[in-house]
Amino acid sequence: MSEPKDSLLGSVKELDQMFPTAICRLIAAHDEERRRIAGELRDDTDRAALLAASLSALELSSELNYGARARIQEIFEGLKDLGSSIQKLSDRLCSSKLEFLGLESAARIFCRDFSKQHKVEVGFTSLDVPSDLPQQLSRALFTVLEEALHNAAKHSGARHVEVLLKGSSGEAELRVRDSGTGFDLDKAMNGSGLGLVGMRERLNWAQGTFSIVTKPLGGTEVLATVFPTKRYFSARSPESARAS
Amino acid sequence: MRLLIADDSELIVDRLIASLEAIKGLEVVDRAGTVEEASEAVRTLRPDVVILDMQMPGGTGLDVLATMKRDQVSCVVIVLTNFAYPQYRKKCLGSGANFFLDKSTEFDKVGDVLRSMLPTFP
Repeated sequence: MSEPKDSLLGSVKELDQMFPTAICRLIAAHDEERRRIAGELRDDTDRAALLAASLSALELSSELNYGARARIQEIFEGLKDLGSSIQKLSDRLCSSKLEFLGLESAARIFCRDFSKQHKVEVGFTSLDVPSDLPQQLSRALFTVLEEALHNAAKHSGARHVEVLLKGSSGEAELRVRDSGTGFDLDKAMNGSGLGLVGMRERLNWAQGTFSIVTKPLGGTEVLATVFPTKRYFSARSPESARAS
Repeated sequence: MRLLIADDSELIVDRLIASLEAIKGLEVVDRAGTVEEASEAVRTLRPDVVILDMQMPGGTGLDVLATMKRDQVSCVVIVLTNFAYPQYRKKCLGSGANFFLDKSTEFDKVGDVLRSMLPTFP
């Protein structure tokens, strides 16, 4: 079973070496697909919401006995839960918080929720984060945050992770630091996973910078920086990414 | 009272129209399925009330609220969303929305809100 996956990953990495911008285009296509599926899931949430509203109206308008009302209430609660689960799945595919609340709030909420779900302490500090960061840059940093926290929780063994989101003149940076087991960076970059390569390429795509400082038993620090003042980024499309 | 419905779900819009048609004095002037359409309709039609979804193609309901503020369009905005998180409520109400309703639990409140506003419109 692992052979096709490994060979696929190998192909992607070879592609990365031969045509770095091809990876950027794959990332763009991947994001678009996630947005599309998230949109379809939202339609399902609408359907669940309408069904819940219909049930609620039925409960109010009909002369029902206690047992029937209780049953309707039970189905109503079930539908609400189902709608909420679909909503969360949609959010995991394409975070609405980033669009609605901006990077700083979305990152803070993500760290809080992640900490609860994964039983890892996540310290979050933000400083002068620009509120008007373009969506592409926000998404690049947010994706790195998601990936870095998942990596820390899954592989580092650390019980505490520090996240710093900071804006300064012409740039916004994200640091995710843990004091866990660390790892061999060269080995990881050439291994079968795409997480690290994906983070690096996302930052490439956003014309930012990306680095990891780690060593076995020495913890890990992931640093991603974007530059909102780069005027040429704002209208950047996969086509222009290919040309750059 | 002139109403614009901005939501990309035809299901939701059809259901809203069906549930509101019995309200005398209420006229649905248009429906918009994208942020661009909603912003344009608000600017050109100047409705009294807008029912606004949060997530639509081309951006979010917040973009529509920002456009309304920029164009100095004044109307009552009822946000009707599946994203009924407290942070979104705060953000929407802080950005100019007057009501923030959850689609799954407060769908029928839309009619109540509109009925309560009718006497204030000629």
